[in-house]
This record gives sequence, structure tokens and C-alpha cells, in this order.
Amino acid sequence: MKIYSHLIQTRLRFKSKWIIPFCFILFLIQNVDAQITETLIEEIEVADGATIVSNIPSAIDIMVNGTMKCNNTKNRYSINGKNNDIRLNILKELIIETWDKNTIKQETIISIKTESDDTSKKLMKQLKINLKNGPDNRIVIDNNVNISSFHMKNSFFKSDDCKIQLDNGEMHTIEYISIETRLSIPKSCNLAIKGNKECIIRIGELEGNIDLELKYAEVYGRSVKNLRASFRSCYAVHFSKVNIADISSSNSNMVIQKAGLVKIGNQPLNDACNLPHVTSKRSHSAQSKYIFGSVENLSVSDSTNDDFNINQVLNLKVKKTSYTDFKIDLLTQSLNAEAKSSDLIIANISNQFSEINIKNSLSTIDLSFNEDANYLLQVDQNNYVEGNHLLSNPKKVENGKNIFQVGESGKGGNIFLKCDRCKFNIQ
Amino acid sequence: MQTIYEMFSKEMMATSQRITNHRSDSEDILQEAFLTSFQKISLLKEDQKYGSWLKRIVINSSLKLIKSRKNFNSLNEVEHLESEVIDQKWYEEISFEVIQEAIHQLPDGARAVFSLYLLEGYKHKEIAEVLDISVSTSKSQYRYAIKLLREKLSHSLYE
Amino acid sequence: MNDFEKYILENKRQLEPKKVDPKVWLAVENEILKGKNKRFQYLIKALILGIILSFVAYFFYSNIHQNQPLDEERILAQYDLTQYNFTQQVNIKKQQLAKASVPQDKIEDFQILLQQLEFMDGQFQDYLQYIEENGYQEFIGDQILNFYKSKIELLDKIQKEVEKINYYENLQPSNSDKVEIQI
Repeated sequence: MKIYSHLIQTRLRFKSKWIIPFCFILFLIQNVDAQITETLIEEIEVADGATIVSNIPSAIDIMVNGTMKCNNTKNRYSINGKNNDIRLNILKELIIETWDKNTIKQETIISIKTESDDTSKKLMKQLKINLKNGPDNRIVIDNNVNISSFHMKNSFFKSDDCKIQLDNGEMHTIEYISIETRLSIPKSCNLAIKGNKECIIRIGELEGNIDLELKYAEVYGRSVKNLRASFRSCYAVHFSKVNIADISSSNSNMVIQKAGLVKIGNQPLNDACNLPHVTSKRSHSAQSKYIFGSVENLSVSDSTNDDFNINQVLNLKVKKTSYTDFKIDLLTQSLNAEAKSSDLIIANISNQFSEINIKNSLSTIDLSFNEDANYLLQVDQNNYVEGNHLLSNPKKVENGKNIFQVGESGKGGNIFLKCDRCKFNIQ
Repeated sequence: MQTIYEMFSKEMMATSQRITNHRSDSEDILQEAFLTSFQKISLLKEDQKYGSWLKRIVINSSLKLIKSRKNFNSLNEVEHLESEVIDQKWYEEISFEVIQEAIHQLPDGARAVFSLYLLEGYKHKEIAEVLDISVSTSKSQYRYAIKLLREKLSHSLYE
Repeated sequence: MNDFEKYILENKRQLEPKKVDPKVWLAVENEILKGKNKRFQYLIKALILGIILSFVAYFFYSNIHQNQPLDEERILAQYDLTQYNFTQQVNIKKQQLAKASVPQDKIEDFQILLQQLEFMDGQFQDYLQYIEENGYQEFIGDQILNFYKSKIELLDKIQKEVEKINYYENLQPSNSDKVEIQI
């Protein structure tokens, strides 16, 4: 009995004296030693005209049992009820740089923290990148490094918090993981990226074709030769230069600083970008905001309730469009528009313009010319219109049209306006 | 508790054994009876009545046991018992071990009635109720038990 | 009662066994101790059961809390978006539009715009599904912020178009009956 009580006393003394340093050491062991970081690098040679097909790092399925709480730090998750406990951190940026070499290089930086250093190392060995040439000169890039899913459970037991499932079905408990992928591809390559989850994609200068099917993504591209894209709820899409763009979008915001040919709504939205809850047919472009710097040829079709803000456009063609408004700082050559309830505000029309042909209804049409502009304006008489003094004083009436000649006859462009219940402001 | 046990155990053992005629069974009954009484002793209002309360438990358990035996036959009235002519003090020379042995050799029913009536102070009416027999059967079984005892003990005098 | 019977009764104590096997008392004592242990065990079990029940109740409560169906208000609260009063703004605008009417021959032109509201509702359902499948993620908060701005802009646009139609209807009546907008 004496021995026993002595033991108790010893334990109590140990507790009171060493408990804080002991916990501190435990804290250090828990928080510093078990995290390891490794960079996986692979580089392969590709043939000319190769197409690179990539998924996005956030494509890994996240299976949540319970509710995850969003905190204020971007790209971080925490389990509800365990505030400040960051279990998973995926850097969802996919950086695609281009170079003059004919190789593709994939660099993936992975950081893992598990219960021990050994477990982390064993798990790290199983995470691989696998870069290889596929059929039809296609290279498929998997940014998910053998991980098929994350599992999170809001459980009492810490080990249930976060697990990753590998492609081979193995489950591993993790406390932290981060994956950052950087691709370097030849400038001449074609690139295809699909994703229906949050992702930030940065694309360097590319001479090949880019095919994007994205939902909830942000895209920042530099100079791109050919862009075909389908966007849903992508609130930040930015390209500095595009030679040819063919874009369908819904609830997205897009900026293109300089473009050759831009087609909007030319093709239906891709299936991945459609809403599963809505079966009705919808426009190829809807509720999107387009901000363009300088565009040579802009073609808009099947657009509803979009908003275009264009700095300069050479030729603008609009058809099958309703409730879509256009604000143009400078129209240089031609405008052909068949629309409904779509306002057209053009701050400046170049003296070199050749044709403006507008069929519209219930709209405001503002056309501003230079003072020395020459043009022949023909306005359909049969429809009720309101306008400024210019329209109240036609030179002549011919074939049911009020005809106005501004400036010298036989010089400048022609304007045809047929607008039902519209407000004109032509000056 | 051990003091109480020591105070009552022999009497209770004798009572039970006279009914069951089986030592091991009686030990079990004793064990259960004491355990029950200790667990429920707080329910007892008067401490003095502990002995009789305990005895009632022991008797009831013992009767329940013998009734459950397959060979326990329901008791019948024993007819034409002649009134006995008893010699004065013939039993005084017989040791109590022999008397005890003779009692144990009585048939189950007769021994139970004998034990309850003579030694435990039950009335024939009460015996009739607990053994589910008629009062006259109880009486005749008792006389039968006395007769058998006398015969057995008389024999022992000549052996 | 004859003398023999009296003799037996008087010497009843002599008929008792000289001793009872000590194992009987040991068994009784053992059972008593067991009973005490049992009571202690019951206490421990009750305590453990109490703790387990508390945990179960806690998890049950937290699960109820967590598994509440996702609804608009809960989502907005989750992303600190209640400050913008989006739902109130949307409701006020919808109520105003519900009272609005346009000439019957113009309603068809209007359908494509009204359909946009249906798509927006579908978009919100998509957010809910995303949250259910992937948990709350911060970007969905940004998405919802943009979503409501777009929805309010859309409702404003519908209001503006109604006013525009009616403005021209007053200037040039079409003799068509007015019908309410189904919103």
C-alpha cells in the first residue's frame, strides 16, 4: 500500500510540474514533424499539333458526411464544429505556362500531414503523376495525383475527420494536404480543359486551339489564337488577346482586351454547363456581361439579356437577340442588328463606316456621328418612333421611308432603321 | 450479519431438513433464505420478529421444494389408526440422534405434517392450507407420523 | 399431546444439527458482497450510460442542426450575406411586378425574359446541390453574391420593360386587353 501511495504522489508531482512542457512537446511533435512536402516532376516530348487534355485539381470528389463550414480563408475548409481546424487545403490554381520547347512538363507540389512522418512518407510514395502520350496525339493530364476522393466526416473521432481515397481504393487518414500544379506546354499545342468546380486557371501565350468547358471557374489567359469556350457562372474570365473566339456563356463575366473575330452564342452551351434542374431550352448566351477592348468582327446570336460594353468594334453583327444591350464607344465599319428590346448606344461612329442596318423594337437607339460625317439615313415610317430634331425634318419620303441626307450626297455610309416603338437619338 | 446467521442457522437448518429430508437442498434453502432476509431486512418493522419471519421463508421454500419433487404424492387420510397405548417414558433411553434419524425416515408427507404441527407450532388448518390437503388428512398424517416414529424408536430399543 | 410429543417439543433444540456447513455462510457472504459490487457496477453502468446518452443526444442535436435542409435563409446566413437583404429586395420587386400588367399581345415577347427567372432559380438549386455534395466553400458565397445582383438586375429589367411597353401602349393603344405578368 505504501508503494502504491508513493506512486500516486510521484504521478501527481509529475502532472503538476511537467504537464505544460509535456503538452508543448506533444504539440511540436503533432504539428511540425508529420508534415512533408515533395515536388513531383515529369517531362515528356510531344509531337507538333498535340492536344493536351487536362482536368482541374479541384475535380477530386469531396464526400462530406456532415457539414463543412466555410471560413474566411480562401481555399480552406474546416469541419463544422471544429472551427479553425483546417483539414484540407487544395490550392485550386492550375497554372499553364507555355514555352518554345516541344516538351510537356508537369510539376506538382504536394504537402501532406498525417499522424506520423512515416505514414506521410508512405502515402507520399503512392501519389504519382503519370504523363504519357495517348492515341490521336493527345496527352491526358491528371492533376489529381492518384487521389480519387476526399472523405470528410463530422465525427467525434479525430481520425474520421479527413480521409483520402486513392485510385486503388485505399483509404488514408490525413490531417492536411495541399496540391499545386504547374504545367509547361509547347506554345503550338492545343489545350482542352473541362471542369465543373471552382478552379483558377492561368494560361500563357498559346498558338494552338483552346477548348474550355467550365463551370464556377476563373480563367486568366494571355494571348490565345483560337478559343472555343462554354462558361457557366464563371464570373471572371479574362483574355488579353484572342484571334478567334467562339463563346457560349451563361451568368458569366468576360473581358477580352483585343480580338480578331469573336462569336458569341454561335453554339449551344456545353452539357457540363447546363443546369440539371431546368429543362427549358435556353439561349446560347444569357445574362452575361462582355467587356471587349478592341474587336475586329463581333458576331452575336441567340443572346438574351446580355450586356455588351465594347471599346471599339470594326464590324458588329447581331441576330436572334433580345433584351441584350450594347454600349459601344467606337463603331468603325458596319453594324447589322436584328434584335428585340435591345438598346444600342454607340458613342462614336467613324466617318469611314459603310453600313448601319438596325431592325429592333422597344429600344433606345443612340447613334453619334462626327460633325463632318456624311451619311444617308432611311427610317421606316410605319412604326411609332420618338427622336430628336433630325428625324422630324426628312429631306424626302420614299417607299414608306423617311430619308435624310446628312453631309454631302453620295459620300459616306448608309443607315437603315426599322424600329417598332423606339427612341432614336441620332446626332 | 454473521451473528444473526449464527443465531438462527442451526434452527433453520433443522426445520428445513425435517421437511426436505435432504441436507444439500436445505443448505441451498438456508442460503437463499438468509440472503433474502438480509436484502429485505429494512422492510421488517420489528426486529424481534426476524426469527419467525425467517422461519416462514425457510418453511415456505422447503415446502415448495418438496411439492416440486416428482415423487411427492399428495397426502391422503390414513384410516383406522388405533389409539395408541403408550408406555410411560419409554423414549427417554433413546438418543436424540436416533430420534432425529427416525424423523428423517418418515414419509415426506407425514414428516412435514409432524414437523409443522409439533415442532413449528402450525395448526392443522394452516398445514392443510400450505400443503393443500384437508384438515382431517393433516390430523391423520400427524397421528400416522407419531405411530411410525414410535414403532421405529421401539425397534431401536431392541436392536 | 402425549408425553412423547411433549418430550420431542421440549427437546426440539437437541434435534438441531450440531453445526451448519460453513460453506453456507460463505456463500451467503459472497452473495452479499456481490450484491454490493453489483450496486457499484449498476452505478458505474448508469454513469457510462448517462455519458453515452449525453453524447448521443449531443450528436443527435448537432446532426439535426447540420442536416437541416438547405434553404435560402440558411445559406445566406452561412455566407454572411444577410446584411444585403437580398431576399427582401427580391420579394419587394416580385410583389411590385405581380401587380404589373401588359397588353395581352405583348406578353409573348415577354416570356423569354420571364424564363430567365426560372433559369436563375435553377442556378440557385445548382448551388444547393454543390453545397450538399462538396460542403460549404467560400467561392459559392461569391457566386451567390453575384447571383443576387444578377437576379435583382433582371427584376429591374423586367420592371423597366413593363414600363416601356405601357409607355408606348399609352401613346399608341393597341386595344388589346391587359394581363398580369405571371411571376
